[in-house]
Amino acid sequence: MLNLFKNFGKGILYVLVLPFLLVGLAIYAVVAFFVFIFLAIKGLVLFFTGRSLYEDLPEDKEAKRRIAIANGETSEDEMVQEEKHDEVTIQHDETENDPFYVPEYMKTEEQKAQVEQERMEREAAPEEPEVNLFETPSEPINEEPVKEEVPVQEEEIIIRKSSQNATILEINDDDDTGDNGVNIDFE
Amino acid sequence: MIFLISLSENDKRLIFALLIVLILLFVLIGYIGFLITKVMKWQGKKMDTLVADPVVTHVITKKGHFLNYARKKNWRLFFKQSYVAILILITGAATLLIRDAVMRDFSYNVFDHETTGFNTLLFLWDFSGCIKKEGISIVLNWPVLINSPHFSVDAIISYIFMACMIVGGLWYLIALQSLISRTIRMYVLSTKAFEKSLEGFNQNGQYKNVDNISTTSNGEEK
Repeated sequence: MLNLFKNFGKGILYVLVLPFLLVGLAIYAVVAFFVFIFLAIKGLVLFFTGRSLYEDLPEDKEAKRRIAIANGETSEDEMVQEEKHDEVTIQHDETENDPFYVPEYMKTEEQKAQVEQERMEREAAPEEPEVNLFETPSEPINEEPVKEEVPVQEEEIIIRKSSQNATILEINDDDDTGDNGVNIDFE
Repeated sequence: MIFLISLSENDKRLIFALLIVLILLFVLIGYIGFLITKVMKWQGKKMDTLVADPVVTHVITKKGHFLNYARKKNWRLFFKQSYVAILILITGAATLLIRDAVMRDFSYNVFDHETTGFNTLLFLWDFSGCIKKEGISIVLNWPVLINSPHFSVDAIISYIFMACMIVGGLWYLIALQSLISRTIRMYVLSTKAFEKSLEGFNQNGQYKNVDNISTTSNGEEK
């Protein structure tokens, strides 16, 4: 009985709110139609660029990567390698610019034998490193100059005290450079 | 007391029956609303499937990011679900427009009941003469049947147009309802999945259980 009255109350509520709900629904239907048109145009543009409207978003790709790593299906390095292999690389055909190119099915037996011999010679001979005369080795930038280690010379420091309370500092420098550079730390 | 209106037993029974019918009508509307709410909750669960992976793997950690991502997924799914309905609607409209352009007659009435409309397939009554006032009394008459279902070759375009509109319209409305359900669920999840609650958390939890604290013979706590 209580449920009956509850539903009765809900029924009255729905009847009162129904006009506003219908207006909201109509507005939403119109907005959704315009969004549909926008997505249709976007889908067409993506289709002609080789992509899809339903392709994974960056968040989906990252989530799949993390799930695969967590499940142990693949390591992080393998995922990076797979992504690199998935990239499409366009390789130009070497024959497209060769005016003397002859397709395989049109070659005579002599031409085929010559091609085979050239291939065997190429495989037998070691490859010479290619030198590009137009490239200059790039100089390293912002490299710190290597400091040469200078052997530290031990110098005899003789301190004599004079009779008049003056301290005379004598330095015995064995080398002939005349360099009296002694680091005295003034504390 | 003076009674302005005197009700006979039959009148009282009629009023009582009408009241019961009204109550039952509102109860029925309540049940229909309950059913619609339940269906929308079931449709909204699809949003959980759409956004689960990035949320669970912590790719998305903010509410704004979540709403942005979920909105895109939601509209994409709506497009996927509704493009057939839109195509059907466009087909129906295009059929009518092509017919009008070829025949050079834009006065084609799709709802005509005599020759060219969809109403040729329906029972139609005229309710205009049902209630007549004669002096102080009101006379009630049965409505007059003005059309019985019959097939009309001239109305084929109307049949195709109306069939496309009904099927496409219903399909589109269901897709729209799914969209609204998922949108509501999206806002509920954006609050629920990223809210931080300290309900039940006590930083001083170590002092909660007094039995764990014991003292030594010197009175110091262990």
